[in-house]
Amino acid sequence: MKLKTIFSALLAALTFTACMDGDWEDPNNGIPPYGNNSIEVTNAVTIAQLKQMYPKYADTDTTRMTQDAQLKVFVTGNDIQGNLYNSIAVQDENGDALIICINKGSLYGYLPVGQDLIIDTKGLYIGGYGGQPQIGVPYTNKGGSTFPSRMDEKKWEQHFRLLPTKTPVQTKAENEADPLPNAYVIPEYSATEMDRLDRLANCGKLMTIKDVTIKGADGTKTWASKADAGDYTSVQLYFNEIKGSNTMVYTSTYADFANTPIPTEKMNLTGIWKVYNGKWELVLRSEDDIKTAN
Amino acid sequence: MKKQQMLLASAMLFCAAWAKAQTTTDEKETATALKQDNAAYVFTESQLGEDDDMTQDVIMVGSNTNVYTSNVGYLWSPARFKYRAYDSRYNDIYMNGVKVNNAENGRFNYSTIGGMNDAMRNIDASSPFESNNFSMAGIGGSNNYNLRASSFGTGHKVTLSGLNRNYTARVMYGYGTGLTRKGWAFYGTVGYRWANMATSNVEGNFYNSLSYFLSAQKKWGERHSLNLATWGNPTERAQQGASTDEAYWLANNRLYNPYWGYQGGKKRNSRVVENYEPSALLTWDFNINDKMKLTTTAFAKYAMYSSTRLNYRGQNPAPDYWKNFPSYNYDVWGAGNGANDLDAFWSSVDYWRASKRNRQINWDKLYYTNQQLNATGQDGVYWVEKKHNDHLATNLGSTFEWNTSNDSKLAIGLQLGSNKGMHYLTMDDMLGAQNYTDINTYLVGDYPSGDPRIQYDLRNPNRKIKEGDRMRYDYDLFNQYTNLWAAFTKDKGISHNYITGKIGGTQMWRKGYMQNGLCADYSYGKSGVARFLDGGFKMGTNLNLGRGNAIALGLGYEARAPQTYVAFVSPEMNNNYVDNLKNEKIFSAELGYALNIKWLQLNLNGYFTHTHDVTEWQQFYNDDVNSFTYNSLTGIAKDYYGVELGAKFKVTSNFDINLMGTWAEAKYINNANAVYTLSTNGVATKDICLTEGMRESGTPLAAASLGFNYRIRGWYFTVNGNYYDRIYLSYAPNMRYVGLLPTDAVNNDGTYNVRDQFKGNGGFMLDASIGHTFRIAGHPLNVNLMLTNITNNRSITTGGYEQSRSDYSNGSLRSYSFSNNPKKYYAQGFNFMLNVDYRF
Repeated sequence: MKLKTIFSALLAALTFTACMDGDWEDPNNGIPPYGNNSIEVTNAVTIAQLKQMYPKYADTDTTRMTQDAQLKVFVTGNDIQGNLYNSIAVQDENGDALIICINKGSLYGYLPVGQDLIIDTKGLYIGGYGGQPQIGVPYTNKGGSTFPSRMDEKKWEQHFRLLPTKTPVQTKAENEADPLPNAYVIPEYSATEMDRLDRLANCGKLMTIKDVTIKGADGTKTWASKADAGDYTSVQLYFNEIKGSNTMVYTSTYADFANTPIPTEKMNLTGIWKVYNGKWELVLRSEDDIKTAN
Repeated sequence: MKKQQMLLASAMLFCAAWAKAQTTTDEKETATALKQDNAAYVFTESQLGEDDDMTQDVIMVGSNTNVYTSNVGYLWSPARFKYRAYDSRYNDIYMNGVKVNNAENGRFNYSTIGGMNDAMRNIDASSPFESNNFSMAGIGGSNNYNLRASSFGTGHKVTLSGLNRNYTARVMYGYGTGLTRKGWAFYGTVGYRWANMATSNVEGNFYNSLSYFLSAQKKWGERHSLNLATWGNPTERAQQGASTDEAYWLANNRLYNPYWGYQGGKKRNSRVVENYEPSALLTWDFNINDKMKLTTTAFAKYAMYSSTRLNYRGQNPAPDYWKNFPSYNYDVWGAGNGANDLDAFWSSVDYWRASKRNRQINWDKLYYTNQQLNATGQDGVYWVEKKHNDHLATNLGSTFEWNTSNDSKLAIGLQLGSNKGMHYLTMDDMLGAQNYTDINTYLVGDYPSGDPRIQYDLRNPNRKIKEGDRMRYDYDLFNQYTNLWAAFTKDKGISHNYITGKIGGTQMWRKGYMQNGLCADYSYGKSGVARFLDGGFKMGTNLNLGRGNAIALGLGYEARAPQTYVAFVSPEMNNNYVDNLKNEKIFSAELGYALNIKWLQLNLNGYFTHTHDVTEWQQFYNDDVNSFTYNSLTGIAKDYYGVELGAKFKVTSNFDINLMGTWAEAKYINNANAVYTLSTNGVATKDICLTEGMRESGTPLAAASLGFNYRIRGWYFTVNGNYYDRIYLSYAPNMRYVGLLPTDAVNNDGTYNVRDQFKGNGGFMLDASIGHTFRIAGHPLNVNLMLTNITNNRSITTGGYEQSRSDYSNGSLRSYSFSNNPKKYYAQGFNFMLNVDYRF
């Protein structure tokens, strides 16, 4: 009897000691835990309409957006390889683009390219950084210039809603081979065409420049070595096919491909084309944006 | 009758029914029983030092002859007091005469004997300058646990405890046969300790621990005895993380725990420790004759220790990540860093305060992100990894004792030990991700894509990891030692004299199972073998001056081999030893005065210890350079000195007043040679670390206590007022590397202007206990209620550390001031423990 009781107590103890940190299941059931799912579209506007509402959208200043207005956009660029830092590029169905500045890393996880989302603009700020229209919060630099910069993650969370849909993003060749409905087909331009493109109308867009080579590329020169950057954290590279220094590839030394050698052959380069004080800056999103030209 | 007793015990187990009081006048029994639950060998959670991977550590000194040392461990445990501020590797633990400290780090993990209190009651505790017959005592003292089955009492004992600390409930049952006429003795105990996230003192924690201890002994005739003991306590528990005062302010809770969060509405902790160290001892006692005795014990242990951690690529998802704080948006320190967005500051304050969910980990987001990445075949960016520190130890201890005459005694012993420490990391939970590649992603931008240096294991490049797989590092550390010691004691006249000495050898090496791309030629396979000859001596005398007066004087010198744990610069990466790895030298001395008269027992001790050629090692994640950093400090010299007072005034036969106090110093007296290695480049960089003036952390260096003990008609009352002060936080070495100091930290005269080490808050804590022994069916039922921190002082700091991150980024002040935001732990507010035990 005594032994039986002891063993019963032991058995009870062992039963109690079942693992407490058990297997965990997927918690989401398809409902995005990011953003503000209560945002409703009461006044849908396009990017072009928003720019009309706030005509100083490209000035080096900020304008607080006070009207009810929601943008429906899709993501065209993110921080997947650390080159587009603390920001995403978005476009609407008309192809117009904006840069959204967010103080958070790893945005590419929940904002992959093609992700559709609603942005509630009321309460955010719009303005230009070197002429590039951006949405964010005001920041004044040491030189006294004020422009929209990275907004706090919590603020951002209050101003967007993830949609369950995605807009396919295809290259021209992909689209010709397998056209997807409602796809955004990345425009392609030659070096000359790109250099002459209306920058204010097209800045922030995902576009491809074709058949180009980089000045100084010798098989060992890399996209953004720290040595080339010097005291800065980015490197500007120029095209052999474009005269002058008004069109460049702009790469961060923190990009995953910063120390990958630049191909010497002709390339098609895809990325977000930003304007800075009248100059074109191509920001490659990832190494996949670097293709050898056929 | 026996059946009734078992039923009663069972009823206690499940109902915790209160028995009607039966007053007994046996005050002595009550006092003894309650004293047992107040003594140094009753472990409180803060004494246990449960985390192998934390700086917190424990020393238990319990010499019964000294009022101070016999009370200090338990009494000041709520403030995590460390005896003389020593690292616990200076506290040598023996079991049946064999040394059982972990040979790799020198420490004994007290948590591995938690929940089996009754099995660990028989201790021969030796303070640093006390002669004993099992060792040359360490400077932190030495304890020898007697685990022989015949040394335990006979009968049953059931203990029930309810408390609001790390765990909420404890049940223990023990049974001993005593020595039977056939020469057999058995003793066993089993215990269970439990708390879930709803009951734990710290939100988000849980505790789940089963303990067992079994000992069997057989005696042959008068001379031989063989004893086999085995024990273990499989434990699973969640951890609390230190955070900044800003976080505690925002959460309005100084036990705020950033390690947990909601997943699908349920609480989940990211840091879960699993620890199980099944151990066994085989002891042969040979009483050669009346004057000679040989004790030989073999010890084996297979220890499994793991702790999980949420890791990431990209931005840290910790709720108390610096960019999440209000002060990231506004320069509250006036540091001139330009952060001036007051709206964002208050908006962040509101966010933190709006909901508990906002200040904890959001597991749902982590899953969602990983699932989005699955769609494009990319690696997950959040995962839970599990760090394993397992070890296999086999030790042998043999001691020959010889009473050479009526007033002299000789003991000679041999200690052998072999330890294999197995260190590796596994993928515990991919958090919904389908892909993970085991490469050093921090290097991806530094080298061309496809460069072999980004591989954690060149033998398995671009290895796809699934849950349970080993990743990032995998290596063993080996340590073997031999130690021969002898002790001779002789009484002569009014003096009791002793001299002990030891000499030994230690060898160590590393064996890597991964070929790290940054250290391709020296990471895989066996390292060279490092060998050290170590030893030392201690001697002392106790002089009985008569009329209860005695003085004691002791001094010692020791050369200790460095721990294997600190011997390698970056063991997770490669086989390289620390430069100039040397034996640590320890000189120690102590002078004590004791007075033992009818109404007063008093001990006053002064001590001085000097160590040099000390090697220390730390690893931490350094956000500044997005890299783990391995830091070796060598050539360190430290001084420890202080005074200790313990006095027990016996006012009446049933009323005592206890007075205790210490003032200690424990500081670095030189600047250390530093070598640090970043896991992102594998390059060892030499520097000087400005350690001079730094103090040992995580313990009060000054403490005082006034206590009242009153016993009447079987009741026992104690009240203790404790005051703690001079509590330092752990300094961050990399903030004091000369080569990394900002330019404005170098004075014109070439001296350095570095920040003082952070101090935590001291303060007053009032503790009390009340107890009584009842008689049920003729057997004692002890009830004891212990109340700690009755005045609910939540501002006492128990530990913490400076952040190892600079205020500067690319030469400019950051928007957040790391130097003003050390991470801290605070003492728990009011807490209690109700303990009921019944012996039959």
